[in-house]
Parts: sequence; C-alpha cells; structure tokens
Amino acid sequence: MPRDSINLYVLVLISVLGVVLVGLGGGLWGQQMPWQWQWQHQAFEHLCHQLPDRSIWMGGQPMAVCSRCIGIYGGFAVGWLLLPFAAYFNLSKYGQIPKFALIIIAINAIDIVGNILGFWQNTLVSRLALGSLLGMIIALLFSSNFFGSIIKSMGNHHGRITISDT
Amino acid sequence: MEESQYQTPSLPSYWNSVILAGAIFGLISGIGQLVGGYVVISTGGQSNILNFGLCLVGAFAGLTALWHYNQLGDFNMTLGRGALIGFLAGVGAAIVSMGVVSIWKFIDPSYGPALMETQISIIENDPNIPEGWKQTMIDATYDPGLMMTILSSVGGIVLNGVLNLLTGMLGVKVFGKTEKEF
Repeated sequence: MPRDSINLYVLVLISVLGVVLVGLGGGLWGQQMPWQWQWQHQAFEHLCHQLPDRSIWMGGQPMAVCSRCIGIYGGFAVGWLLLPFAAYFNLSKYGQIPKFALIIIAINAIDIVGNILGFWQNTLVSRLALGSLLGMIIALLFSSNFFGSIIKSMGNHHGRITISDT
Repeated sequence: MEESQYQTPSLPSYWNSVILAGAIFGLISGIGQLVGGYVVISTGGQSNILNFGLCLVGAFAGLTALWHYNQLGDFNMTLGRGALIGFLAGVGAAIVSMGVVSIWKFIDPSYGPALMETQISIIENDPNIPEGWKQTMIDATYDPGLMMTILSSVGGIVLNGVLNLLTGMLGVKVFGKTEKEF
C-alpha cells in the first residue's frame, strides 16, 4: 500500500474515532456540567438535533448526538476498521456494495419520512441499527482503495501475482 | 542527461468549489440556527430548527464541493484531494455559519439578549432539570467562559471539517471519473 494511502487511512481512522468519542458525550467521562452546556453538545449543535428522547443515555446523560447519528459514526468507524478484511475477501469485485448503500440510504429515508408522517414510530434501537448499517456500508465503499487485493493471474499471465488497481 | 518532457497535468484550483460549498452550507446552517432561535423566543419552548429535517445537512458541504470541482474539467480525482477539499469546505461552512449569527446580532441587537432570557426561563421552568443544576446552567448561559467558548467553537469547526472530509472522499467515489493515485 502506498505511503500516502496509509497516511490517509490512519488520518480518517483517528478522525472518525475522535468523532465517535466526542459524540458519546460527557456521560462517558462523568462530566458534572449539565449536558446541554457541555462542549460536546455545543460542538455538535449544528450537525444534529440532539433531542434527549431520541438519544441514547450513558452515565445519566444523553449522548451529544442522536441514536441514528451515533450509529452512523460508530458504523463508519467499524466499517473503516474492517476495510483490510473487506479487501482480503475482495468484496468490491462483486460490485454490490454501491447497490447495498443505495438500498440502506433508501431504507433510512423511508424510516425518517414514515416516522414524520406518523405511519410508524421508530425506536432508539431501530434508528441506531439503521444508522450503523448506513455508516458501515459507506465505509465499505472504500474497500478497494486502501488495501490492494492480490489476484492470482490466469492465462498468459499465469504464475504472476498482481495487485488490483482501483 | 536529457530532461524528461513529461509533466504532470496541472489540476484546477479547488478554492472556488470550497468557498462556494462553504458559503452555501454555512448560510443554510447559520440561517437555520437563527430561525430556530426566533422560534425559541416566540414560543418560549425548546426548539431546534434541525428537527425539521436539517439534521446532518452540514455534512454535505464536502459532497457539494466535490460535485462542483468535478464540473471544472476532465481529470483524475484522488481520495486525498477529495478529503482535503471536503475538510476545507466543512471548516468554511462552520466559520460562515458562526459569522452569519454574529453579524445578525449586530443587525438585530435584541436577538441575543431575548434568546438568553428565553433560555433562562426554559431552564427555570423545566421540572426535568434537577434544582442543583439550574443555577449552574443559568450562570453558564450568562457567561459560558473563555475555555468553554473556545472548546465549543473550535470543536464545532473541527467536527464539521472532519465530517465533510468523509463526504469529500465520498464525493470522489460518486463524482470522480478515476482514482488512480492517492
């Protein structure tokens, strides 16, 4: 793997883990300041509605982001960590990941619209699960970009080992 | 020794895309925050304009910047470049958003104090907030403190940058024609 791509992979990994840690809010660290006034909540103020009844509570305080958002960030972090395995199993060669991504985006959109229109009431767990799936599948879109998949060539190139190109 | 005639084709500047996307999403976010503030003032209840479907909209500055950058020509897009453009667009959007709110406080000087008074009233009348916390929250509303202001402002800018870094990379996947190098 080229050095630049290692750097980018590690940079994104550290950044996303940082986002997840901040998103977990002050309850994780037992902060005594009322949660609305904690810097984690203030920092995410423009990115998430942060409604307490739609957020997971930890240590007696709601997280700094809602359950769907923490699912997206957490799912992305897990998916990013799984990229080497995704590349090992050459998941991208099937070409299904973008299709799955579109399906999961559509399911999330339907879930949000259905909830707003009152067709159903989604729950903390359902929002967390759908957000996690969305984050993970978006991370897996990059499965062919950071870790070259080894292909044992056939035919005229039999015997050579090739690193797949993106 | 003969010098190589090969030259790496120069890529177009990404600053127009960064500024455009940062301005658009900064305005959306800033105006959304102001509208939410006025809703709070007029209704006296806790409200967040992001409830109305704008959740995570700020994370699309990177994607938009990459879409615009991709219109500038036919060239190789790299994930690293997409990440940089997305990050800068996100940082720009956060700064524009803060700027919009700050400028509006000069245009309508009653906005800031009215919002503060309403927030304090909400805190005082909220039965779910423990009594022991109420005075702390009211004090923090009047004077959040320098460290708190810096942490929340810088944290907001960095978070917006990081999330748009990710959508910038996603923009390369969605709009990029080829991804041959990082």
